[in-house]
Amino acid sequence: MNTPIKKLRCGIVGLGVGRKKHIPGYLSHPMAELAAIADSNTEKLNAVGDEFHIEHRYSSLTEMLANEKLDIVSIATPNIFHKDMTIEALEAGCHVMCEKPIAMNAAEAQEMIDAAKRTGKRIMINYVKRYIPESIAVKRVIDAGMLGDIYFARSVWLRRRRLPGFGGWFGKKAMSGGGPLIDIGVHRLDLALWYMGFPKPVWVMASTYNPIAKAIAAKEKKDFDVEDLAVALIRFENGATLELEASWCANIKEREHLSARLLGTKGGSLQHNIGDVYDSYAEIYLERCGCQYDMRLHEPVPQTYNCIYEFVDDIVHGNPSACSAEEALIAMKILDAIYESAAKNEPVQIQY
Amino acid sequence: MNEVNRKLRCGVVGLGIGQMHISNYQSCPYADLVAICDINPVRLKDVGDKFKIPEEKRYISITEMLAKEHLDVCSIAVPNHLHKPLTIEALEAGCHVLCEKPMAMNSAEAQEMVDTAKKLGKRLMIDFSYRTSEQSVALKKAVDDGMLGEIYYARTQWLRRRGAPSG
Repeated sequence: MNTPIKKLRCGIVGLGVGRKKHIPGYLSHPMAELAAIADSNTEKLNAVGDEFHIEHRYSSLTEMLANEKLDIVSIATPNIFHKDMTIEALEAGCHVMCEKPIAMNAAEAQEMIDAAKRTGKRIMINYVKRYIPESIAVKRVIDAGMLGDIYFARSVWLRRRRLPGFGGWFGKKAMSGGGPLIDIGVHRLDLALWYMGFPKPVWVMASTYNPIAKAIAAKEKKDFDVEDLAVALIRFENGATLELEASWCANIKEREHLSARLLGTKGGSLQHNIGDVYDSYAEIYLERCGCQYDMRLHEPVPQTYNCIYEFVDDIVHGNPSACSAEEALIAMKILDAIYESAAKNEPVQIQY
Repeated sequence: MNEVNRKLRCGVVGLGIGQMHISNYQSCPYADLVAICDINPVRLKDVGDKFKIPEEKRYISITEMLAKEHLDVCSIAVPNHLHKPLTIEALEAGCHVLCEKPMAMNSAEAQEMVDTAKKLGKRLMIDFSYRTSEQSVALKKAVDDGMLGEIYYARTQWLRRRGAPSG
């Protein structure tokens, strides 16, 4: 006997990345109904509402939650609001799809986890880089044991010159929590941790710099008080090491340079963007019969869905969802330690 | 011409990477490669023949070479654990020393070598060969010229897929 399943009613607050990623995400799943949107910017709210024919429009999350019975809420606002809005949505009985980074710091992330436990609701973080075909393919190879134990990884996202929304909240530490490290570095960090099986981080040695963006900001009279480059070495309890680099401004050849290298006891891998865009390739390096082989990923690559699709799908089918707040907390602890290490000019031991 | 107003008398100890030292001394107009040394008599003969070193200028013992040859310059190109003792021995015999990288087994040994060179007023240079590549020289000029400004981050690596050197 078929029980008719009701579509999940979904709402989004924050229509920057919310419009770009979350709306297409919900529209891609047949069991999701994009019921309402919210943004404090009325112009943006109406433009997006008109574009996607969404009638239920609110100037705030609170107003949206009061008037709509939602199953899922996307939090796609500046980082400073992630914690409070996530908790507010959880307490209103919603599952939450929260943009990365989960929060401003690990203490906030912990509060969000506590709230999710208390309310029995889910939090998933929008780690889009896990859901590209190359990432899924590499992860399958790792899970099949082909790389053995991963003891070294290097994950980077370097931009030559690209400051997001320059002069806006991205460059203000009080609203963002940091610069390229917390913005794009968090993607690379999550990806590496995911590949490595989320080992427990213990030591961080890091530096941050902002000579280029600071000079541009001074020239253009914009507020900017975060880094434009962050570099870190992270050491895990299992002995593994991770090198992480992220920049919005760096004097490098590439416009965009994304790469993840894994060295394992049985094999290695390299994932790399191609031609300054986000297309990427993946290769696995193996020794067989005393000879060195390269294994290149070719079409047809694994079919992938976006994070939001996966979130809806997992809720519909009662499956656990990936990109959990618990995993995001581990990344957040590392990000906190990186900023602390950079500020103190010394290595930082992560406390538990 | 130089501090001694004649070609410098040069010797090489250790004939693995030391062969590079031999050919470089032989190609230098201010150097005379006069003697070589290796504890392995087979290698000593092979390398001596290859570079046309007279048989009486081939030594099994560095001590004997230093005593007989009155060298101005001595290359130390032996396994790392011997860098310190042989460098100090050559310095004490009155030679400037060109020592292979790494300088020593650890920084305490390196300090002893520096102290000895200073005390004896002799030079101690380490064979960091990549500094003298054309690209390195060109880049260093650009850096010194201020083209990069202040360097705040550097990353340098040499990864081999499989390439552990054989003893």
